[in-house]
Amino acid sequence: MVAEGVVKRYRSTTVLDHVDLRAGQGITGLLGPNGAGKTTLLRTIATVLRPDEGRIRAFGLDPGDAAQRREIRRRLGYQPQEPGFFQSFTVLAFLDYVAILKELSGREERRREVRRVIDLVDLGAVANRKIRKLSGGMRRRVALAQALLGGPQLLILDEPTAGLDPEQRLRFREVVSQVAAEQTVILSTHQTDDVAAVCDRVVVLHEGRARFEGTPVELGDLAAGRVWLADRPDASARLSWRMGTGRHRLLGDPPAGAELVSPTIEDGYLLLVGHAANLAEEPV
Amino acid sequence: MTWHVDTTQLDRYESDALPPSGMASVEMHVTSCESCRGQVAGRADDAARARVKQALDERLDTPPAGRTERLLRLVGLGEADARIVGATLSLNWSWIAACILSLAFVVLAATVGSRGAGLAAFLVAAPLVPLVGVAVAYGPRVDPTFEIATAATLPGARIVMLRTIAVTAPAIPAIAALSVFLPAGPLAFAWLLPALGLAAASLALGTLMDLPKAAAGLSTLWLLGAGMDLADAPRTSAEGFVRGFAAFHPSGQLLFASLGAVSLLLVALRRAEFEIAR
Repeated sequence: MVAEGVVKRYRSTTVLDHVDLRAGQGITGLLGPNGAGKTTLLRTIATVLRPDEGRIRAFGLDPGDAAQRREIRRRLGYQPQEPGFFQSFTVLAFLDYVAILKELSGREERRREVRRVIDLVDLGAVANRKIRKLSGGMRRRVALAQALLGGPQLLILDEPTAGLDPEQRLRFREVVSQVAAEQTVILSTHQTDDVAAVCDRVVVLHEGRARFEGTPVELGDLAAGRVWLADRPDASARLSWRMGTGRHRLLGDPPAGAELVSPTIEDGYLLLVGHAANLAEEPV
Repeated sequence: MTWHVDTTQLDRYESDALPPSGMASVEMHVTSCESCRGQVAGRADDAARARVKQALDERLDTPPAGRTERLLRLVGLGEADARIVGATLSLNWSWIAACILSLAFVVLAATVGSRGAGLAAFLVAAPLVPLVGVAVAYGPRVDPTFEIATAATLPGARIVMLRTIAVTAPAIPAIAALSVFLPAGPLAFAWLLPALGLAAASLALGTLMDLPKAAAGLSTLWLLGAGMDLADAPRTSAEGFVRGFAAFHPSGQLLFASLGAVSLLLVALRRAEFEIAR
């Protein structure tokens, strides 16, 4: 999947400002704060929205052409940020309905495929339960399951781990890692530990622009030599917070008496797009 | 355990030759006796067992069809189309019922009150029912699965048309049935061509803008037109009053029929626009 110079505007607001993104086999994470444009970018890649400028190609096909767009959708799975359901449907009925939308028209084919994804995301115990009676985490799993119908070669997941407990997130990572062995997965998240755990590459979006593209390790390395632990907060630090151990983690110039530590992905991300970057008004 | 199933009993069980009590006795026993269970398993016809399992899996994994879906299948709609239409009706049936009920009250008012005003009110209100039906048929605000459906391969135009038909098909005959109670002869059905023309026009506009906006815009124009024409309409007779609105003239009826045909042609030509969100 290739996106080049993608621009999307809503009235007078430019939500995506000449964004480039390339994603091949494996998992590409899209990281960024609220309002960065992640959802808009994913909706554009998923062919739900048409970009105002720029070029998108998936499998060498152009979503601007109706026939090619259909072919892309045949190989695509998409989990929206806020997936909607017919509340009176059971999990089984909903997945069967989406399978119909994906034109898995043979009844036996549909039944096998629905059963496959139910087993894959471990929804067997609630398959006949109405969706309105499921917890938020379970509904997220139903949303993931519908995206996996048809064995898509390009899987687009918008905030797939929002609302999941740690065990569910671990299960999600297992499923996505399994799928990404042979497919392309693009997922957006606020959680830097999801990026660290499963992503081969990460793109950081901020205010509609791509600020970083590289590996998670490279993102963390942006903060190399700038992360410290101290017993007390330091006013000169660009960003600091108290940790559970009682010590303070500081980002920025070396405070007196502080101990230099290895940076995490979160440190690199915060330095890149957090409040510190705005305050400093200088490139990272 | 002192009693076990012997070979003769197993032979008779396998060939269904035991009396019901005997069959039940063997089945109860094997659920708790591993060795007898092993004997029964050893005789099982793998192919038959696979067929039974497949049939069970199909039964368990096939979501039961609702009443509406079963009815639609009976009248010849395919399974996939019946499921889409059924989902639409499950969202909108209460709205449809409320609109029909409202029109019923208008008919009641027309029969007991001022004939001209009542008839005009019915004829002006009736086309709005399918028009608003188009507005609630499909779109991000009315369909919770809109984004999922848009990213899927089933053509958006097909979903829109199926859903529009799902909403208008019950509404139009119901309104026609109400028209029978109006003491106005064929004039009581003068709403039909404007209803179809406006519904088709809102679909055509839906290739340029959101369907609810298209329907709202056309509803406003329709009501404004009705208001302006009827304000100056003669009140000498009910028919004369109603025909004060150009839409209920023969020429107006022809215009709406043409509008419907041209709109449907535009929808066919621009159907790809239903496959992208705005």
